[in-house]
Amino acid sequence: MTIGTISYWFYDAITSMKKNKKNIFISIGTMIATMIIIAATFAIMQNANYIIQQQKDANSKILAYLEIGVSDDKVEDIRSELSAMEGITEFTYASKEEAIERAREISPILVDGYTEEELEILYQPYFSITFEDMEAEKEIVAKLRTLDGVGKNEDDVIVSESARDAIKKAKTAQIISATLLILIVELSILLIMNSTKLMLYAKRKEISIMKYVGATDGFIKVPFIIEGVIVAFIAVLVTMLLVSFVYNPVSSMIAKTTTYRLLSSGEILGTLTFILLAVGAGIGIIGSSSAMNKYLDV
Amino acid sequence: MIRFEDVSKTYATGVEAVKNANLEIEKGDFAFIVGSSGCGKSTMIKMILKEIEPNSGRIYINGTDITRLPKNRIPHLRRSMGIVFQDFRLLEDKTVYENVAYAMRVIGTNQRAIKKQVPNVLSLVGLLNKSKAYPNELSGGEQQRVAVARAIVNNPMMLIADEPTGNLDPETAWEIMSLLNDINRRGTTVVVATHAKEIVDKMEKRVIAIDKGVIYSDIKKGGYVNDHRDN
Repeated sequence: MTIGTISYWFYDAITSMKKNKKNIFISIGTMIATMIIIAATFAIMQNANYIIQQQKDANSKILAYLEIGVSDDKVEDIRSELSAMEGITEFTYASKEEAIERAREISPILVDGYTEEELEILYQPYFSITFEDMEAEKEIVAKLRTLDGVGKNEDDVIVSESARDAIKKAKTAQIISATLLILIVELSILLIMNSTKLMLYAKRKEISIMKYVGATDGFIKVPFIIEGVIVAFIAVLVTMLLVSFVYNPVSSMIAKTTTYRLLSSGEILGTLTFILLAVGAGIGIIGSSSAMNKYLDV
Repeated sequence: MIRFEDVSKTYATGVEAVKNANLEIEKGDFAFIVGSSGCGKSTMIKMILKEIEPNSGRIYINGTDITRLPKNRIPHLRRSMGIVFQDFRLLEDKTVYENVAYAMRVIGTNQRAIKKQVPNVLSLVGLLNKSKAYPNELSGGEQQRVAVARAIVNNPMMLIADEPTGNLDPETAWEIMSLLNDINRRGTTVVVATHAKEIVDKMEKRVIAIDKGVIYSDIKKGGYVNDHRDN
């Protein structure tokens, strides 16, 4: 392979693009359309994850119920242990009386009709603990169970249901987003492969002539692949420009009208550029190359 | 140069295109393969180009058994021969110059040699003044001249032509045949599949006649053979 051959391939690819402007525009258009769908799905899913994460963090609470009749000294000891513990954002203490009062606020049925003694058994004082992230949950729970004065039953230290629910939602959102993204990328590949196939179908005669003249499959493929990669890069560039122009106004509008904070365009565009380049280059190289094999068998 | 040993080809449709063909074309020969449409001459050309495979028998090109040639060597086989088709088969989006140069580019010839050789060949076929034209701006005869120029630009040892005058008027057809004759005089082996009786008669070259897939006549210097085996 000489420099002359390589420069000829580029010259041939660019000349062919100039001569087939209509087909090239259709290919670029198809790619941009599908890449915008990929970009939109990616941005929506990333932000959905981000919002769920915010909610999950806000709801990450552990309730640690203390033993019946725990002394004030022990409560103080636990308080200082919690202050020293890593991963805890804040904590509040509710005495037995406050616990009964809160239960009454939720529903009087929970309190009315019980004797003092029964209420003492039912409602223990507790610490409500907020922690940084779900990763720290298990460690904090395990430590709490070892503290003197904290109940030793399984349900004396519990993670709030809303936090568990948020984890479930986040995991579901991640699975849905990943599946959806894979499906959309697959769909895009098929759409672009189809437009590549149509372009190559129009060139099948040309390809067979090249074969008769003694061109190897590689020699024939390279200019088409170069063409495919150039088309893909143009499409990625246009898509990224469109996304960067549209994303910020849309995200600030959502931020104004709702309580949600969205990811910045920088956070979205970084990974998105990588995904689109991979999809684009993949389609450019693998797509045009595999679509061509059919016409090379002459 | 070209040798067929007991070559047979039956298509998937059941049509027996070539039956037990034995043939030898020597270096420097000018041979016509003649016969009516569907007699099997194009099948023979396609087998020489390794576009299709025989069901049995061996085909040797320059001593190499091409029936055993791996797929990735086919381009190299085709580079040893120039090919001319009835429908010209030019690259529509390339100029006359580029069409001819393409055959040199595929074998990795450097730019300097291309710039030197292409005008020489275009001059030989009388198309130097049309080097910047596109195929659709040329007449049928001119397009076929470009195809001939492309076929000979790499100085192949043989030139294979499948009905090269089929789409041309008699006068232009004769011009193309004269061109092929000139090329043969320069030492290139030429094999032409045709059913153009007048040209074959006039040229007085070797004539291999085929009918229903069977070679029934091979005359060193003669005209179109009308006599069928059953006559």
